Amino acid sequence: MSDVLILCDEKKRAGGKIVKACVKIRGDLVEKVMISGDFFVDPAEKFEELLQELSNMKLRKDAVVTAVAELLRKKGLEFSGVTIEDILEVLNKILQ
Amino acid sequence: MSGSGILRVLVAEWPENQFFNLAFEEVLYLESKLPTLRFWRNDKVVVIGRFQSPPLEINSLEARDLGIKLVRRFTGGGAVYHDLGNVNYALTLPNHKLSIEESFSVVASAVVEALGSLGVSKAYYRPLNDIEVDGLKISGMAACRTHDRVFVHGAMLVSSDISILWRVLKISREKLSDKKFTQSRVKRVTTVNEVLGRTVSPEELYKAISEALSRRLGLEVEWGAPDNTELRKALNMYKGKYATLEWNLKYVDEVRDLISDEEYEALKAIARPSKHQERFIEVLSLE
Repeated sequence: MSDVLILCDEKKRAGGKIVKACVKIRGDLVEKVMISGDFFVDPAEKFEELLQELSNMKLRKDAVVTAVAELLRKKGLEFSGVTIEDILEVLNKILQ
Repeated sequence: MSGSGILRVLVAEWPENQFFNLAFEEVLYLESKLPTLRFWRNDKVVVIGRFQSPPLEINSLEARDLGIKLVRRFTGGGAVYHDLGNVNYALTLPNHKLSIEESFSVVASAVVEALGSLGVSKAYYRPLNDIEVDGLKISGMAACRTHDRVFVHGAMLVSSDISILWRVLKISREKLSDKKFTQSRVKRVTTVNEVLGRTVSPEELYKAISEALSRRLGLEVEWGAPDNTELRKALNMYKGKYATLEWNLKYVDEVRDLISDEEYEALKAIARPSKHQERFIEVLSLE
């Protein structure tokens, strides 16, 4: 059985808020992605739906950032304090 | 900006049950028909933002040992420590379509004006959601909105024990790399009493903020009290949401392996009402 690894990183947007991300990796697969932080997002419920989807994925490491980017853009979310690019940057740092 | 005539203002607080305080807050957000301003206080609690993960934000063992609770609020933003020296203000505006940034700006400008009327002449709004005096944070705000209303609430440090704040809140690595921050952790914030060099009563603050907001919104202040429907809905919201680990400990499973069993048990202990707090709710339910 592959070992499970949880990796986290964070980014503070200059003059803005912090995004923290953690990924749970088993072998070559990412099983969970968690995005948290002190930002604001509207509509909150849609973001929580997205987090629910991210907590139950089984993707190869190299497919995660693209998948998360697509989900974030599809949900029509309005972030205050961070941007979608900040979130993707943190995920890229973790998964490199 | 003009409103519908009346700004309903109430002092409605249950400091001994922080979970119920947050439940009532959400009921006012969802159900208020009039523009409504609430003032309230919490005793000894860390209130985390809606999208935060508790293990990443709170020193759970420290909080447990200090008798401090943990509750998640329904707005985004960061983790804050409340004690009786912290005054919360919460504004619901039905039939408004302000953005989150706009709503912060409106409320902050009124709160800055209110502080000025008390003698705090150097307060200013620092976007996104802070109010500062001489570079030190004195109040932080959070907000949310739906299709037909906006809501902003803020915490104002009046006489809080700032030393406790730094013991229970985790400071992120990104914040620590900010030179200004590391110069003096304790001096990143200040309190109204410290700035004025005197004790300000909560009532002075309530009067100043309600008058400033009424001028800003073009509404007339009308003092009131919670009605039975609001209290009943708040009790339901408390039982179904704010008193539950399911709500307060969201985003813990994802990082469970990063914390010890003792930390996990401490989180579970602080994120739900104590037996004493449950008895308080039973009494409230009977009234």
